[in-house]
Amino acid sequence: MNRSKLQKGSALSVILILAMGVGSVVTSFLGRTLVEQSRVSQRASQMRAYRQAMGQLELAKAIINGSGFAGTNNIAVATARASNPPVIPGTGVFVEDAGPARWYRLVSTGEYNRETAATTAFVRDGTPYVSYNYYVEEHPLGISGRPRGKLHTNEEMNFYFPDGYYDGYVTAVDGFDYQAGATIANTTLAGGSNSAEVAKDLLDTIDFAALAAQAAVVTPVDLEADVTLLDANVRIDLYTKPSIVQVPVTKFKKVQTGVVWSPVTVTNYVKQYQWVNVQKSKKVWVPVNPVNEGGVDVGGGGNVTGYWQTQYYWQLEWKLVNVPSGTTTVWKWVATYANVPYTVMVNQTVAGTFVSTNTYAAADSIFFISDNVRALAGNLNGKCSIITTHDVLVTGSLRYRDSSGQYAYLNGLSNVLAYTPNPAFVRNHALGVIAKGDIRYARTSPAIMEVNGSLISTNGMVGMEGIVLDNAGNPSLSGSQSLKTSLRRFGTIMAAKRPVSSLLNNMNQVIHGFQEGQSEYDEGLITYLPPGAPQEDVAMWHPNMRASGANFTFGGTGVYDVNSVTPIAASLTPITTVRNQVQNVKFDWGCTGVCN
Amino acid sequence: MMRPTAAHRRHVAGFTLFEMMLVTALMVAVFSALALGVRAGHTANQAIARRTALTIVADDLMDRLFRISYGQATDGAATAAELSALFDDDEDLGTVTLTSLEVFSGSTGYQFELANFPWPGQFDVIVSTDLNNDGDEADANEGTNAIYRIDINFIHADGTTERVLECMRARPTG
Repeated sequence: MNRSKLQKGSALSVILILAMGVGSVVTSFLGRTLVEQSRVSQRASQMRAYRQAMGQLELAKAIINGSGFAGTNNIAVATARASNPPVIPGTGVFVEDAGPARWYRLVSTGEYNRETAATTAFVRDGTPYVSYNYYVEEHPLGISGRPRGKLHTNEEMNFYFPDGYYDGYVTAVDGFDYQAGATIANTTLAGGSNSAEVAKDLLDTIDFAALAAQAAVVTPVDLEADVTLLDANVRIDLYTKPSIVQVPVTKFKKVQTGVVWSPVTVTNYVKQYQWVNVQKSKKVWVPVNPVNEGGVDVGGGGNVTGYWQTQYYWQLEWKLVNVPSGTTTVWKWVATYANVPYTVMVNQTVAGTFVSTNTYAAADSIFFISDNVRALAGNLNGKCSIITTHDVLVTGSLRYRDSSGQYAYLNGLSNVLAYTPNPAFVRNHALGVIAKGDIRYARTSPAIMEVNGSLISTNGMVGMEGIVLDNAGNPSLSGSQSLKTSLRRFGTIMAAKRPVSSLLNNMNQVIHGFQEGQSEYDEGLITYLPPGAPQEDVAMWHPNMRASGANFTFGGTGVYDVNSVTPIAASLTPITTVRNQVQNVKFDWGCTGVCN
Repeated sequence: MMRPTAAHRRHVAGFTLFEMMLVTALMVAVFSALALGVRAGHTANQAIARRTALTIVADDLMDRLFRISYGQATDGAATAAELSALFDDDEDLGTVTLTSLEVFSGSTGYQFELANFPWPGQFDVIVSTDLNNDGDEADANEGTNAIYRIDINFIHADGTTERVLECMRARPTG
């Protein structure tokens, strides 16, 4: 049938074109939806993979923390390193050396719905004692300010002054107490805490005989030493011990020899009323604000907000007094005397005499002093440890100084400028001082002092000379007062007895020791260990880190800046390689029907 | 038979019935397919949105459980006030500890609904020492408070349970 012109048309084409247009729009919409679905689903899967990786790493941490030590090595870590692939048993967490001795990197990978993620953590299988900023075994520990690093006492932790901030892990066996204005609300324990920690006895494990055997220098017994740090060298001057001798001292006493009949002039008195200047006193209340200093070990103190002060004044009063009125001469028997000498034996201390002087290279050495260190001071450019079974008296600043003359911290000898790390300082420094007796800051030490290093007293205290502790650790003053201006410390303290470098009266005023101070925890000591530094059989962790790159398109070498303490290695295993090696040994999360 | 004139043919211009039926059938087929596609896309969108929302909420919950104090073995069960402080919508997580949230393996966890959550159901937070989720606490590293497993599930309105996120947290050693 032939169509007329009026019956021809393109309606179908138009409709089809329209349909294709709509179809394209819908297809585009569907396409975008699918892309969005893929991306969102990918993110959700990555999140889940990350949480699984994190959880597996936490399991590895629990296994390592709960593992014993064989010798000085963590058994779980040692077992992992000996296996193939080197994974923590029961997990797929990969273990490898991270560079500095005893540091390892753990890598945990997770996979979910074809998405992968990883987390890493650095661990040292043993915690050096220098990881404690303050550690006290037999007494409460009083602390204030903003000290960093771990804090521990086997008794009660006393927080002094308001607005204390503690960013390390704080532990005490007998709980926390707040004094001199400190309260729970104004004291921040940012690094975690445990006020019911298990008692520790780390100091008892320090073997002085073993340290002496490792020492480069062991001084003779019964000779005291003056130790001076001379940058890369250590000078040891030996002296005999002070001795007590008895010396004769001539004294005189009056002895009556007889009597003589003699004229004696006596003064006559009459009573009269007169105006007399009389001294009187009154009590005045003086309010006192607590002094808040930063990060120093304090002792004493109280909650008194002021005190009664006695004020004296003069006042005229009408009084009946005896007034002289001439003299009279009378005859009397008068005794006569003679000064008779006699001798007594008195104890005198004779200072030790100089015996010898020697200078040694610091060179990562242990210097074992067999008697008291009666003076310790100087600048150190290197690493060494001064160890003694007696006492140590710090008579001057102990400071790290590099080859360019830069000190580790700026403004260590100022009490007004900020005490901050010196960016120009090149670190390869560590000083360890270990004494069985006390480590004291001498009364003769400078008014402003800086001490860098780890101070350990296994049976005594670390603190100001003249401060004594009773059995409960309550401090008091023995001998003369000595007020110093400032002590700035960059290092750590471990002691059997509480450290006290500032003694407060019951009005919270410093009456002996350092009036101002600041302590900075030296985290670098963990990496730059002083020679002979003891360690605790507890794994030491750096925080978990999420590995970048969701699908690890790059391997990564894991090189970190040693000056920021993070361990380094020449090259660490790329995470993509780790992921492939542990494919078949990852932790089974046990999805049994309820998980997708 | 009389042949149609030009004038007569003008009155009958247009499409034949057959043509219209053909086009209509074609359009029905095409638009049906398009509608199915749109519907599938919409359904997929809904599933995506639900899954995303669940994962985001679960990740926030997990983050909270990592931020609270780990606690001691002697900690008692969390109180209602502590749970409210932990799971409310502010950053103050209260004083609850992870240890106080522990439940025995297979037990119901802490269940709650989120206000204004677009999908009906309850979140179920389970803290236990059943690390491998096999229903007991007798396997290696289980049964102590040295490490906890944290599961976050979502219980739909129809009673089915969907696990959204899982992780573990070990006791810090300071």
